[in-house]
Amino acid sequence: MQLAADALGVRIDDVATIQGDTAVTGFGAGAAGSRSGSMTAGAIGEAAATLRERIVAIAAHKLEASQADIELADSRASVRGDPLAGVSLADIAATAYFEPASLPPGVPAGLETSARYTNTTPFVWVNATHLCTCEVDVVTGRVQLLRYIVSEDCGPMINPNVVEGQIAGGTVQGIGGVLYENLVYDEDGNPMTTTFVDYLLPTSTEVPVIEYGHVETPSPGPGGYKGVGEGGAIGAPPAVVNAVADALSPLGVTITRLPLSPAQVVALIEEAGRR
Amino acid sequence: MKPAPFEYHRPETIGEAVGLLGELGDAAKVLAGGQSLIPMLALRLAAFDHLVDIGRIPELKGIERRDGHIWIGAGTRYASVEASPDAAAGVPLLARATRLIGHFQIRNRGTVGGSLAHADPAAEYPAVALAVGASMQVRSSRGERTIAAADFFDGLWTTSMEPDELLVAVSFPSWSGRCGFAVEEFARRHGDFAVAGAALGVQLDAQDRVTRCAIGLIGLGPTPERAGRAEESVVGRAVGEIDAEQIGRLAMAGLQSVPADLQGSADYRKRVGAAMVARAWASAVTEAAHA
Repeated sequence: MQLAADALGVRIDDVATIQGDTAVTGFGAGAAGSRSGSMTAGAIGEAAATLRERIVAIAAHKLEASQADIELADSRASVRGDPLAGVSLADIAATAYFEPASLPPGVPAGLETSARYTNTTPFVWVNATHLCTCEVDVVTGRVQLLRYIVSEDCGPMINPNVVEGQIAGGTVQGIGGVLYENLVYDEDGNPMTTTFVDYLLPTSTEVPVIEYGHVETPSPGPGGYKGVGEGGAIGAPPAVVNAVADALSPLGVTITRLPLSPAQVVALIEEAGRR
Repeated sequence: MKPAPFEYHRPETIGEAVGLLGELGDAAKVLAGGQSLIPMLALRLAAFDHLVDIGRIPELKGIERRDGHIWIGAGTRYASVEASPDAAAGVPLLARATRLIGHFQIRNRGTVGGSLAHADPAAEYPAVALAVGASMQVRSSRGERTIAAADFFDGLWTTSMEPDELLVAVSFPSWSGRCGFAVEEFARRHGDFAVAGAALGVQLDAQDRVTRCAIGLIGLGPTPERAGRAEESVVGRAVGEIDAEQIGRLAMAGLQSVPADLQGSADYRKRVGAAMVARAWASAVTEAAHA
């Protein structure tokens, strides 16, 4: 939305997107490999370039100005240096759809286009580093995370709020996988963890404040953007496991199983004590 | 999931409520704050033909400082106990246990009587009631009687109340002198059912000798348990010569049926329970010594 609004000079409220609805969208293999950011930016860039050219041509024609002097902002086209001379995107669209005779020569009716992006660079990697400190109560086995820092490089941030939200969501999921989440079955294969009373998810009270460090190294792809979806969930489990392993290392504990529930931590400590 | 169909009754007086319970018997269940009953009905762990909602009975609500004890109406919500200076001063153990009950939203709805009558061994109030020797005031259309906490908890989710009886109020004795209190519990996450816990009160004389000790155990049996042997082992002794960890071990020694579940084995629970007793002891004794 933000990219489309920026590319076309329209208000973000005027942008509506449809994502992942296979009834109306083209073929796709889904979101994977942190490529959505890069692929979407590429596709929006190509589609917007086509549309922008047409909008500018219609605006220039209507305002009797040179195409080079047309500026698009705030869902309006105006003439550079003459702020009073302008036309709204809605009026431009009305012309494009309802008055094809008023269009400049060579500009087709309507304001629609579709575009695909094929990447020309082989890989766009996202990078992240997770660092956490923890305290383990060796009597109860409780692991308490004290400080959690994630530094990631997703290229230029399109929206820092969304970037941090993605990282937090992934990180908390990673913490959950290490410390809480566990699907348990009995001997006959019946699921034992059938409600959220038994299947534990980390909540805000279990998760420390996540501190962020942003490194912005542009990728060779569109806008220099990289993905950000995977930097959270992939980095968190090894960081948390290694923090616990480090805390328990004086006791000779080797972590071999997840999740690190308190009972499991106690079992590991007792096992190490018997060796 | 949705509960099995039931008929809903909303009496406006205690008399009306016990009349309904007398008439409907086993087929009826009292609905108070609904924080345990409603999920159990929804999960079909329980089903009743009738629910008698006691939430709109004014006589069941209130906290009063009376001679040597704090009287609390059974319909009083946890949040009211949490906010009551009388409860905090008169029965510190109760006030300190309250903030460990579930979450804020649960404390706004759940009631004192509901927790005790539901008799969940992992709940806080039953262990506190048992430790301080509370007495339960129960009423039926046949009359009223008082049941001591020690005789109240029969088994998992079971009390010595008859199906036609309603818990109307609870009296929590106030301790005097140099006292200290602590509730320690261990739960996987904030607000989860405790894996194990302890509610502990201690009273010292001027020479720092233990004159009284009460320990209620949370989540360590089918009912809340009282750690009698551990209590007796400290009374009459000087605080300085008592080892907290030993009290923890003693408190676990007599336990017969410690539950095991997804959160850990019975042995793990005892390990945690012993630690909770030891930590509660250390904290309560420090408070009493400075009183």
